[in-house]
Amino acid sequence: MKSKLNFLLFEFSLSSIFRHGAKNIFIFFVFTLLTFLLSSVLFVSNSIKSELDATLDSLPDITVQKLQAGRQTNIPVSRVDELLAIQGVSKAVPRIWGYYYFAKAGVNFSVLGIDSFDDQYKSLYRKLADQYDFSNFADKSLMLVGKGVDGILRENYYKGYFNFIKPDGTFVKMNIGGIFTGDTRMESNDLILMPKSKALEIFGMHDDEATDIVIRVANPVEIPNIATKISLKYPDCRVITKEDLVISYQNIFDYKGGLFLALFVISGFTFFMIIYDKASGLSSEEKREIGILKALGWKVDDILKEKFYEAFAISFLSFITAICMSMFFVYFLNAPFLRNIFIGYSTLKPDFILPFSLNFQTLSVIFFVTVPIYIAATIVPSWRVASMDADEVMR
Amino acid sequence: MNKKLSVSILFFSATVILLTFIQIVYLESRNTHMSEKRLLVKKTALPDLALSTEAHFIRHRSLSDLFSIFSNAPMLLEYFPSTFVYHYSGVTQQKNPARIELEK
Repeated sequence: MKSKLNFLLFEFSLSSIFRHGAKNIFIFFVFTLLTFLLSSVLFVSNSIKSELDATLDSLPDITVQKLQAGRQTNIPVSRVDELLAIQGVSKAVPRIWGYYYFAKAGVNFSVLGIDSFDDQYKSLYRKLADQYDFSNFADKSLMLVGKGVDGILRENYYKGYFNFIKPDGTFVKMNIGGIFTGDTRMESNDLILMPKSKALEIFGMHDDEATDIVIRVANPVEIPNIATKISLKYPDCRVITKEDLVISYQNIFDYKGGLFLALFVISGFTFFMIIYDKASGLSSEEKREIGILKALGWKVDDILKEKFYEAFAISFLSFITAICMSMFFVYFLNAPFLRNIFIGYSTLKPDFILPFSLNFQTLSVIFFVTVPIYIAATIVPSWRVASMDADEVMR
Repeated sequence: MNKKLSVSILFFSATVILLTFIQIVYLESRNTHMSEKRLLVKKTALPDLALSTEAHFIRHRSLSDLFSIFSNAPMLLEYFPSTFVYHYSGVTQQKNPARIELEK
């Protein structure tokens, strides 16, 4: 059977929606609100995850940390050459980085020592920083800070500089030479970049030590193999591959996903209650309407089609409205309230912009959880009534 | 049939759909700073987002100490998702990690 969209029937459905105006408008609002809530939460989660995934490729393939008594300690820089000797390792870089606790604000800054400030790096940081003055970086004791760090320092009356306290109690004064652009805020909010010598001084480390060593592997297939080689060669080391990081991301989102599941279950329950209410029986008025239509000569087929159009019009319009609203809420307003679930408690809260990522999987999940169920809940009871005799229904 | 009503409902749906598309197009065009983020991550080689900074094992959790949280108390239950990460011995449990499995 060929079924075309019957416009007259469609118009009849639209007018039928308005005949039961108050009820349908209420359903429209609840439907929209629930779908809006659900999709907003999924959008926030998706965009944070996509942000993580997008930068995942830029991460080093392997990170080697030295452990002592179950804690991470400094690794000798001399191991870099031995690691480079392993076949397949294309690059091994010792890093100096750590946390500096600023007690006054109760915040941990991430301090990173940068090796060289030759022209190549200078052009790179010019791209990443708002204000920029690194004419002689090391001599002038300059550092590059994230927006969040700058904000906290300003709040504590450090204008353009900060006094780091060394382990021996003396001060190291560092001037702010530049601030990272707002675009990279999610990555750089708590970051302080400074010359390696200064970072070593602040942390009280020796020149021949590094925090850890990052390794690049030429062939990605070889990563597990090389990781095994390293951990066999240095039993005191913890070898973290990129895949371990992926796992840790997955855990975070599983955990956060659990929170959403709770939210989703509640909204889903409410939604199904409405559906149940609708499906548990038509009102006598609606029943009589179907009976009259049958008496006028409508077939069961026509009645079901009419009901389908009606349900589809309401549910699809609610769906689209909700998606449109939640896109605005998440990506333009940056999801006030909801975002806090993700960023948690933190003094150095980044004021980030959620990156846009349209995930068709998510959209289709939201669609199939809402629209077809509503349509089914409308059609099934109508079919039950429509398959009865007309006089029996009207009586 | 109230013609006005049906026209207005169609107009409303068309507006909503158009708005959605405009938003998608605009938001897609706004996503331009991804390369800068990649550049920064590549240079610093620090993973994870600066979403919370209250404890040193939150930011860069994957590169923090093993079981950092035990510095608070060994009986303490894990209360941050970031402490769910630990690394198995590379020698003994190469293939089958005990608890965490990567979903693909």
